[in-house]
Parts: sequence; structure tokens; C-alpha cells
Amino acid sequence: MSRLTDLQKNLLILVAVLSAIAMLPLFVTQRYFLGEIVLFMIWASVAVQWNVLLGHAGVFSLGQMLFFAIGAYAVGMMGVFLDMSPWMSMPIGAVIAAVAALVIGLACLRLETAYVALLTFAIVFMVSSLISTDAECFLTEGGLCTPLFGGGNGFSGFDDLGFRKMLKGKWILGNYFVVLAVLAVSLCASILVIHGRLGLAFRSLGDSRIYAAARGINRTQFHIIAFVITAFFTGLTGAVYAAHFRFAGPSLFEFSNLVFILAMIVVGGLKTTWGPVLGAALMMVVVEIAKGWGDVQNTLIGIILILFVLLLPKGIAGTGANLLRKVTSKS
Amino acid sequence: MTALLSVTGLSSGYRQQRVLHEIDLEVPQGSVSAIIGPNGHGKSTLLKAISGLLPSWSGETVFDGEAMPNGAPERARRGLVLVPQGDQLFMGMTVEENLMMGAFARKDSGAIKASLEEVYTLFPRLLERRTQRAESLSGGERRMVGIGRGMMANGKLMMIDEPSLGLAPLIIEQIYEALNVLATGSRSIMVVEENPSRVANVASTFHLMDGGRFTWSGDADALAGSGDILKTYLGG
Amino acid sequence: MDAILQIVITGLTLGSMYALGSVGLALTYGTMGMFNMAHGVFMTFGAYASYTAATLWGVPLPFAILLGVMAGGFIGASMHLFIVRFMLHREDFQTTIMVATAGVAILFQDLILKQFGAYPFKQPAQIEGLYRIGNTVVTYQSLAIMATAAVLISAMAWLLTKTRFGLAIRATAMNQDAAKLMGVKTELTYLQVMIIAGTLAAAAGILISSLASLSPAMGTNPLIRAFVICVVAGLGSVTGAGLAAIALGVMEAAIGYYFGVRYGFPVMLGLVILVLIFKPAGLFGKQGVVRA
Repeated sequence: MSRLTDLQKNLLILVAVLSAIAMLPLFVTQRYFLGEIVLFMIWASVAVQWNVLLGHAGVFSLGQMLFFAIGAYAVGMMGVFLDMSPWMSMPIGAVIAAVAALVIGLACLRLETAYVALLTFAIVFMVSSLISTDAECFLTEGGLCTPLFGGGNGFSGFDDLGFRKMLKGKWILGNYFVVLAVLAVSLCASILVIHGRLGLAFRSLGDSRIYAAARGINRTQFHIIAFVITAFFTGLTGAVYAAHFRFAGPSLFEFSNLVFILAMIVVGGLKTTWGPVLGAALMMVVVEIAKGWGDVQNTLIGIILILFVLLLPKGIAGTGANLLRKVTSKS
Repeated sequence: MTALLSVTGLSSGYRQQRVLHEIDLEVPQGSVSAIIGPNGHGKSTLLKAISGLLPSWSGETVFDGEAMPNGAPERARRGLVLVPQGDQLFMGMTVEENLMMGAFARKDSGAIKASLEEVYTLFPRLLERRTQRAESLSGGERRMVGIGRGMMANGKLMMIDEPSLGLAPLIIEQIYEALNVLATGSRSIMVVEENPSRVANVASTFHLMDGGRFTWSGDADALAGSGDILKTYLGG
Repeated sequence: MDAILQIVITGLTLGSMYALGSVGLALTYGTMGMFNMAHGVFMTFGAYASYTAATLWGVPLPFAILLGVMAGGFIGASMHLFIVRFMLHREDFQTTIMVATAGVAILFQDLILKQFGAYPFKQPAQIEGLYRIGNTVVTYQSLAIMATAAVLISAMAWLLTKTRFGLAIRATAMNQDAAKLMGVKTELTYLQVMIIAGTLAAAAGILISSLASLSPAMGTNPLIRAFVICVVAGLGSVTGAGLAAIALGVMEAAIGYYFGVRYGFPVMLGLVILVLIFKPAGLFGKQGVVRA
């Protein structure tokens, strides 16, 4: 076991985790729960990417939902305006998200941590308010007015992934495995980044920025690389979200989504490899249970977030890993 | 004569790293003592722990007959003054504002004025620069502001951490001349210095710190007669 | 000419509200290195508190407004006592405090939503009437807003520069350890700073809601403005934030007048990013120093 590198170890865990999720439909047959697992995979992918950026690369971006939305809107817009199948528009959406990240990154990432957080947050807000206040019709069809970016309602009802025709009542299984594939790609990329050469550069930047600079590691350049990579996979995840729900709208930008995913990362463990996946699963379960108590989701997320930051700042995975290290070093 | 400051069994450090190991120390009233020893062995840490900037892990600090509470502000208000290493000035404030900050805890405005005059008499240079921002001063001038700010507190014990650090030899001489003037009064002073020859004429009691413990203590005569010990620790 | 006058008046009204919303944020960042994501919720909280006092409890308006402002100070103090003070000395304080205060923001926004519903209320603090300069309309309401903001901001500037209390805040901001050695109770200073920030935010919230209306998410918009203003000014620069707020308010009014209201903020943000490309520390900026 100890002969394996960190990278190989984590790739093995990845195979195990993915196989486990792939087997779940054998035991879970209600469409509702399958749908919840699909949602879990989507949020897990977003959380994993954000954690790469926030925890490992040290870029305090609050703009991840923008890239998610870009992917989703690409699928929605190309579906409504061009009748394009999501199979075509999903990769395009991911690429557009990456390009947007490059532009924003070039403009903002030279700045200090706090400035990056504020500016990315402001940019997301600006885009969302521009979209939802847009009332100018771009396409009028049967008396129905659709602004270029969908206005306050967004886009819905466009072509899906095609499984409804192919699998009839079991269409959700088709979507399930497509989302699983996206999660697989996203996780695999995150592991390669964290435990590969890029991760090494991030760690050296985290330890001592000046030393790293002396060794020719350019902080801004690496931050932009991380920003673009994670935006690509976040955009891809947003695209598959739109393809699954056949929806893309300004509600994606809501502050509560941002905090929900932040809570997943913090609960699971910032700066870990698997924490965000664990955190996503736990938060989905908590929110599911809380549905029985009425509409308390956001209150609960707020409280959980505060408690974890105060009492368990390394999250469950981070604290667990520390304990494990202590136990093994003593024995 | 009772001790002004009496430290027993004091341990402290940074995070998990213990630096001080059960230090015992007595500073008599109205004297100048010096803590000497090589760098990185806990001299500054000791001053930080006594001043309350670092929490004590164990042990007791009794000052002026009173057990000291935790926390630097409380200790400073009781007259335990630290002139920290590297000056730690308020860079955006002027020289005079910095000096007045030294008297922050005092209410007696007449006496504060007298202290200010005393500082300007000792360091006439600061009077010339009184409206300049601290960030525009030279290293020597900054040291003067640091010491002057300590004087403004009018405390019962003044602890000065490495007054010669990072200064040119000529400036060091000036600073020590000023310290000599301070020492001739009734002040109680404790100074930390790497090089014992600098403080040999100023202080009356000497403590040698090595590896977070005192390994030797004595008065000026003992210091003069203990060349071997000092050589071992300080390389001559 | 009329257009310009109208722009200046609208801009100054906007700018004085933004200024009131931003200086508290700049002050907390300057003193504690803390970016408070819940600052917008403080505004909402203050606005709803004065509404509740005036409309539901029947408290006379001036006292209701006072109560609202005090509620802001109270929530600032509580956040410090229950959350911030335990995190202040952590290594990654700057990032984790943003996460924690984001939690506070969502929590309070949701609680206000549960208590009052999403329906927008009218803020009772209204002054009727207007007068005209030529064709330009000046409402008493916007004059009152400008006057209130000017008084509160001058009061804070006086506090920071002329009092012993302000001296303690500035010293703590410049060098925390040195301030402690001078006998400044820095823990208390932090608490006081949070109270001031909460108070100013609540006042801003009451003013803003008197022009727009009360809604649980009303704090988001001014919070984003405050972010941008603090970034332009250079984080932690309090006077800078005040000046930048006025400038950006006038700019936004001008852009809104000529191109439509929805482009006011986007163009402003674009310009800000452009400024930062050339001056990465902001216009007045040096990090972590409160300068009055």
C-alpha cells in the first residue's frame, strides 16, 4: 500500500467511489431519490472544483456560480434559439466558461485575497441583475417573448439528453449515468491537479510566496491556470445540470446556492481531497431530513456553516485525517 | 529589600513549541539588570511572556507585590513597560503622536507634559522631527521613538529588548549613552542584549540565557571574572 | 444644465447612502482585517427594527429610528461576542471570517424572511414635500438623507481623529501588539469597532429603505456597492471609502441618466476593474491601516 503514490492512492479511491455510485440504482429505484442523487453528484462536482480553487490554489473566488450558470445558459440558449442538442452544447458551454474565467482572471487575480473575493462577488451580482432586468424581446414565438438571456424566467423546456425517447419511464437512469460521467471527469481532474505538479506549485505558494517567487513560480499565472481549469469543469457541471433539469435561469445566481456549496466544502473539509464530496452528501441528507421540519433550509445551512467554522474548522475529513495521523504515528 | 519583579517557574512559547523552561527571575527595585546570551534562545520570548504578549503556560509573575493578570494591556496599565524588539512603532502616526500613545493609560496631563519634555531633552532629535510620520524616520530615530514611547508610560519597570539591534555602531553608542542617562536616575530597567560588553557598564546584575534557561547569573564583578563561561556561550 | 443638476442631486443622495454603508465596512477591515459578508444584513436588520418599532409597536418615529440604529449596534456586538472573537487569532482569519459571516448573512436573511415574509413594506421614515430649482426636483427626503449621512460620517471622523477612543482604534489598526503594550484593551476596541460598524450599517439601511422599500434581500444591493467602493478606495481606508462613495454615486447617477438605470452599476464596476489594473491597492490604498 505504501508503495503507491498519493496520486495512485486517490485514483484507486476514485474508482471505488464511482463504482459505488454506479451500483446505487440497483438498490434505489424511486425516481425521487435517483433525482436527489443526481443533484448530489452535481453539487459535489461544483464543490470539488471550488475546493481546488479555494483550498488548494488559495484563490478566494466567490464567482463559481457564474461559471456554473454560463454552462447552464449555454445549453439553455442553444437549445431554445438553435434547437441544439445538449450533447453538442455541453462542451461548448464548458469552453465558454473557461474563456470567461480567463478574462476575469486576467483582470482580477493579480490583486490581494480580499479584493479577489469582493470583485468576483460583485461581477456575479452584476451579471445576474443585468440578466433578470432584461425585458427586450430577442425572440417572439406565439406571443411568447424571450429576451436574449432569458430575462427573469430563464430558459426551460428545451431538448433534453434524449433518454425520454429512448428509455421511456426509466429515462432518469440515462441522465444519472451522464451526470456520473461528468462527476467522474471532474473528480479525476481535481485529483490530477491536487496531487500533480500543479498541486505542488500551489503548496509551495501557500508555504512561502516569496520563496516560491524566488524559484520562478509566478503566483498570478498559477492562480489563473487554476481559475480557468476549475471554471471549465464547473461550467461542464452547470451544462449537465441544465440538460438534466431542462432549465437555466437567474435563480442559479442566488446567494443561498453559493452558501450551500460553501457549507458542503467547510463541513467536508477545506484543503482536503475528498472532503467536499463527503460534505455534499452530508448536506444533501441534512437538507432532506430538514424538509420534514418545514422551510428551514437556509437557517439550518447558516447555523451549520457558523458552527463548523467555529468548532471544526478543518471539517470532517480534515479532522479525521489528523486523528488518523496521530493514531498511526503513536502505534 | 523586596523584589520589584519576581518570576517563578515561568514556561511559555509559540504554538506547540516550548521556548522557556521554568524560568526563575528576580529584579530588585531601582536597579538595572541585563539578560544576555546568544540569539534564538528565548531572551525576547521571556520579555514577551513577562509583558503578557505571550500567555504563560505555567508559573507566576508577581510585580510590585501583585500577581499579574493575563493580557498585555492589563500589565502595561500596572506599570510593566516593554520597549519591544524592532520598535513596533505606529507607522502612520507622527513622532509626537507615537510618544503620546506611550502615555495612553495615564490621566495626569500635567505630568504627561513633563515626561514629554524629558524625552525631548534626552533625544533632542525627536523634537526636530516631532511632526514627521514614523515611517519616514531612520532606524536610529525609530529606536529613539521606541525608547521615548516607553519612557512616556512612566512605568515602574522598563524592559528594553535589544536596543542595539540592526543599528550602525555609531548610533548604538548614542543609544547606550541615552540608556546610561536613564540608568543613573531611580528607574528600574531590564535590558536584553546579545553582546555583554555593551551592557557591562550599564547594568549591575547579569543573567545568561541559553536554551530557554538561565545558565549563569551574577553581578558586574562576577561577569568580568567569568570570561570562560561567556566565551563558551557567546564565542568570545 | 437641468440634467446636470438632477444628476448631481441624485448622485449625492445615492453617494451619501453608499458612504454610510461603506465606512463601517472599511473600518472593520482596517482595524481587524475582517471582511464582513453580513454587513448588508446589518442594514436590513436596522431597517426592519425601526419599521417594527414604528409600525407594529407604535413607538414615535424618532425613537423608532433610534431603536433601529441601536439594533444595528447590538447585532454587531453579538456577532463579535459569539463568533468573531473566537476566530481573531487564527492564522487564516481573513478567509474563514468571510465564510463565517456569509453563514450569518444567510441565517439572518432567512430569519427576517420567515418573520416578515417577502412582501416589501414601506419604511415609515418619510418626509413629504419637495421644492424646485428651475425644472429640477429636490425632495426633502433626499435632503434629509444627505444631511443624516453627513452628520453621522462627520461624527465618526471626529471620533476617529480627535478622541482618545479613536486613537485607540487607529493604534490597534496600525500595530495590534504595540497597542496592547500601551495599555489599549484591543479586545474591547474590536468590540467597539463592530458596534460602530453595525450602527452605521443600520442607519444606512433605514435611509435606503426610506427611498426604496423594506425587503429581506434589500441589503444585498448596497453591500455590493460597499464592496466596490472599498475596493476602489483601497481596503481599510475610511476617508477614501467616503470620498469614493460620493464619486461613484454621482457616476452611477450620470450613467443611469444617459444609458438607463440598469447600466449604472455594470459600467461603474467595469471602470473600477480598469482602475485596479493600474492601481492594484486602490486609489487611497495601503492595506490594513485606518486613516481618518
